[in-house]
Amino acid sequence: MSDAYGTRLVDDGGSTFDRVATAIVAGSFVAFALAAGTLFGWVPVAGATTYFGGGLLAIGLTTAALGLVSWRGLATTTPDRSPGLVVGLAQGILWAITAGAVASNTVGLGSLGWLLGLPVGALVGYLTIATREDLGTTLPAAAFVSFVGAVVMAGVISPTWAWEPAAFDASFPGTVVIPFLTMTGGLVAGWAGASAAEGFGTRGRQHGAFLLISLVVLLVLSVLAFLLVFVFERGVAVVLENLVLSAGTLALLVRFRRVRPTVADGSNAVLAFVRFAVALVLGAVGLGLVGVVLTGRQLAGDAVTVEPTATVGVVPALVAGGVLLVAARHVRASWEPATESGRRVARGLRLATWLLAALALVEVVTWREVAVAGVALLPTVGVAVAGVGLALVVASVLGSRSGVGTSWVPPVSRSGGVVLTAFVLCSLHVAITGYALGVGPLQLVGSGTVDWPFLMNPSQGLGIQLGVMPAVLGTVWIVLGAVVFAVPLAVGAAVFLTEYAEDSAFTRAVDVATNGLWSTPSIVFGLFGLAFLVPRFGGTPSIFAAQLVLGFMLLPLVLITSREAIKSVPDEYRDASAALGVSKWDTIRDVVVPAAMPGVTTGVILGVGRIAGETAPLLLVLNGPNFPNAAPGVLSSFTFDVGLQPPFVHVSNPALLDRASALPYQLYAIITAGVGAEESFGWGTTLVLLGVVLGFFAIGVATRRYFRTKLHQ
Amino acid sequence: MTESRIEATTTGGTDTDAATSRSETTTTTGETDERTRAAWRDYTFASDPVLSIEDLNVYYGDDHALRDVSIDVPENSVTALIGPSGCGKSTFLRSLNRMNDRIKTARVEGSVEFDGENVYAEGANLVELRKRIGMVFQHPNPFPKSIRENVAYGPRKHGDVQRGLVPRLLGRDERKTEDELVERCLRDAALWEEVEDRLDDNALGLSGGQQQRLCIARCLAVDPEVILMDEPASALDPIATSKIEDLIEELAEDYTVVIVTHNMQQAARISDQTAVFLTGGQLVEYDDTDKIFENPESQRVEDYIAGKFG
Repeated sequence: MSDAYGTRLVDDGGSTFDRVATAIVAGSFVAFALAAGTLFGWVPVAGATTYFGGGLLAIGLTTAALGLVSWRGLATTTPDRSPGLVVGLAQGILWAITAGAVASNTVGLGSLGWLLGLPVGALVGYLTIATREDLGTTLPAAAFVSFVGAVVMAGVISPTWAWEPAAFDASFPGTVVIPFLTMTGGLVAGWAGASAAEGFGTRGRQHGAFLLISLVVLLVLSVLAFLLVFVFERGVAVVLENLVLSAGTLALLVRFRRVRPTVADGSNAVLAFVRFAVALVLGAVGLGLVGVVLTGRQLAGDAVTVEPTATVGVVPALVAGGVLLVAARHVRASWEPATESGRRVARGLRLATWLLAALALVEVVTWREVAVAGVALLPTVGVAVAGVGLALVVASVLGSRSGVGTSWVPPVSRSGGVVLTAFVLCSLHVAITGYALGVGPLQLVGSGTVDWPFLMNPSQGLGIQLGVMPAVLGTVWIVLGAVVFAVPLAVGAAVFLTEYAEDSAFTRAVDVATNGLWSTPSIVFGLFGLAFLVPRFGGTPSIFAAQLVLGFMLLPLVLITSREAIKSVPDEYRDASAALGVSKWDTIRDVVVPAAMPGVTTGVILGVGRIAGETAPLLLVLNGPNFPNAAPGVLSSFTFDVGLQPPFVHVSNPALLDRASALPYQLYAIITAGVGAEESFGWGTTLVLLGVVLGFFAIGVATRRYFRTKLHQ
Repeated sequence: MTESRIEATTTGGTDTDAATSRSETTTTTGETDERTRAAWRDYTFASDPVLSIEDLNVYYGDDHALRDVSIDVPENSVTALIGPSGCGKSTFLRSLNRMNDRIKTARVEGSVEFDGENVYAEGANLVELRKRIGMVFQHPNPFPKSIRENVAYGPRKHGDVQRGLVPRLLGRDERKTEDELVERCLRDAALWEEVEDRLDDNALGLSGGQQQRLCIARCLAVDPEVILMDEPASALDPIATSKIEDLIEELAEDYTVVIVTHNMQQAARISDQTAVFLTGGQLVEYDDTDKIFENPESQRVEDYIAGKFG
């Protein structure tokens, strides 16, 4: 701090100088965002060049003005003697490139022009370092931005212009160069403006650096978001083609989303706003659905049709009911009725629940309806219990509202849980028997409420039907098999290496080997599977071989992350357990592994993300038909034979030892099929693949969350 | 409490006078060990000794951390171990329930007799030993589980309380027994009133002082005879410290407490007898706490207590 200007202790950003500087930052940000938008085709370049040029010129001139105002002492700032070596270096490089490009192309000096750029860069660098910070920060940056703006505005660089460097065979058209220059100018001017907004000096540098670093994060996030949006944009039409939904099922799903138990507990403004927006959209959808049912008109979009029926599909009903039941168990208050009538109510509720559960168990085991004299028992009892439960809920709500002492009425969570249980078990009954259950238009039906051709059907040739069902099931089975195979092995090995083995040459060798295995190319795993596993399991590529190969690929990552997680469990826990006389194995099982579970789950998430999209090994060890016409029936093809020869029970599963398809594999087949394959089919498959991978991801994150909450409430 | 035995001792019983005249090593100030040792051996305790330590030497690799320590710890009393950092008092404490076994380089010579049996004898049962000699550490270290599970952890692992799915299916679930046990231990650790209605909350949500009392409750739950405490209040604020101190005095009615502390006022307040370790792992004086603090035999101890040394 070299100046005699008094430094304000409280800087409220209220001066004109501050406001102008902030405006520069905002303008640079807008320019940057718009330029990025043109690269992705969201903002047209052709008509907008004048605006880009003009905008940059204005920003550049204002930045220069800021520097001069501060230099003349017309604003309260705290600049240092020099902007520093790094800024000088950066400005020098920027100007060396600019001067070189101008000299070699515009002036036409060719390669010699680039040499001329060096002294210019050196001069700018020296001047930047030699001047006081407010000038050194703003003037070179302002000159660059103004120069670029003027060049673009004057039409020297226009969308039809192209830079064709002599050195290598490439052409950069104006439609790419202009956004690139604008983004660079936006960054430079934004940095200078941010520095000026805090009055230069330490705080200015901190502010400028913060701006640049946060922009980098924004860039990374936007790459991710753009990838998803790009795929979604192209795939969503084909995926949703001919989707037919009943309004009732859709309403249930909407309702189910709203009461999702995984609501984040932070309460900042953005989250509150997002939640409000989501609630608003869901409310509008709900109203629309009620309208559809009441008016009886079909609601048809481009691809999706909503049928005006209030029937509810049993699968979504089971899922929603199950999740709600779990959530209800979490919030359930303990209820110890004090009076005799209360105890009687509690006993009755418990008895009814048990009766329902027993009936459901019988139905599940026999897989048919249990009926007496033509009346199905489970739904009858279920509806009765649900009715009583609902009545109790109403009584409880009314009781608490009016303040009347109702000691025998159970709390809402208890009777609500009973209603939910009855609902879930009735849904189960519908799922088993296929008979609809309900009153009037409100029906719970076994199937037919959702018709989603792309997701539910195999594909048929000649573009008659595009579908991914076999591939989805293939991916799911392969990933599940790999996880079931690899995770216990990897966690077991990690426990041994960390808890039992001494730190020695052996464990270090294992570490090196594990890391090596993780970096082994996936095609090598595939070749190993083809040459070693396939001949030993049926002789043809199969789901089972693919499960093992992907399991091998999953092993090292889960092993590495599990080891790290177990190592990071504090030794205090082990000491505490040992001091209580608990054996090492019990300590590992009940203290160490539970505490390491979040870390282990992270490893599984990362590993599954890799193997679910793995294509190369599947080409070798799965190798099914390109467009399979049937999904692999892994569950239904289990056969059990009881024989007299050991091992007495023979289990076989032909589907597991058969060729199949998987999503990445099918995508590869579509891309390479050439003639006859539709591009949209490929994008649709990509979208479903992304959805399945993200689905596994969501399951993993939910699991980790569960373990975390268990550890730290 | 089960009747299982640690291991019949192979050395000659509890004859404490046998080893009084052995080493003649001269200390830095010129006093012989002989004099001080005779002094603490002559001291008669109010109750019978429950721990009897003979010629205990501990080495960490080449480092001789504890030299020829021989003392008796009387039953149902508080014994404080004081001394400067690195003098071997924590080492001494950890060798009483063989926690030093967990340090790879540690080597122990001599004998620790607990109820007449040498805990370092061949085939000693570590599980039983650590059940009967519990330990509380310097930093509160509750498990990342609920308060109830923390207290019930030991009994569940030792099979004293049957909980879980299998016992429930067999109709042997001992929820009631566990509830009573948890309540009794938390009451004994003076924590019950504060956590009564949140037993199923995570123990990591408690304050530091509460966590330390929970660790004491967890230790009480396996029904020990001796409780070893390694600076249990050093990580706590004065209010939590005074609660722990009150608790230790109450515990001394039913348990034998051996406590390491850096805080000499604390030792003076709560202990019945005090052992002073000085540098080099030597036990310099062991006597009635009042005697140690008012009229110590050794000049070095007097200097240390007066703050002139260490």
